[in-house]
Amino acid sequence: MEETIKTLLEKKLEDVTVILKDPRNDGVHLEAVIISPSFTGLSLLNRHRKVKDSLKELFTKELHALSIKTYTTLEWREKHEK
Amino acid sequence: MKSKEERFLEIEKKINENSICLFMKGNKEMPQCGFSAKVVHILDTLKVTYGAFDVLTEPFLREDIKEYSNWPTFPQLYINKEFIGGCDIVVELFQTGELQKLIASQTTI
Repeated sequence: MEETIKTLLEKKLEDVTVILKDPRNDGVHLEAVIISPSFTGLSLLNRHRKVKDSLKELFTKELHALSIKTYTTLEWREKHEK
Repeated sequence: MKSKEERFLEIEKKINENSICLFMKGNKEMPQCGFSAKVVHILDTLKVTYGAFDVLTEPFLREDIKEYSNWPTFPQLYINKEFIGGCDIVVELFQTGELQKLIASQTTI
């Protein structure tokens, strides 16, 4: 599942970095940090739409719980320089 | 059986009649998923009145709303007839204070 998520996002989002976590170690409740310059200028809703659209085929069946956090490349850099 | 058009009109009615409208799994008292529970908790913390609809109990509602909002997961929150997003968005907006602003703006209408 984690590989599929990564592959789909890499295919659909420009220059993307995906950090996937499985905090409960159950393979079901996953968390994704997604960094891509393609989020620049998009509202939070539209960023999430972009991600959800990319993963649409997974939500109809096996993907049950994915938390998403999105950053532009610049936001990610700023967050880590603090 | 109701046509899809009638069912979509019913969804719209719920959104129009509840300035804060939550489509969730389970109900306020007993959410059936962690994400729905989180949004209920946030709205309860803000002490606002909102309409909550359990998409697991009404036939068609679950699939219809996904299509209506073009959003594949639950919960789904509407404020002032506008689609706000799912759990992650609500949490982020709550943390930045944006959600509180959106809610404050709905009371003036």
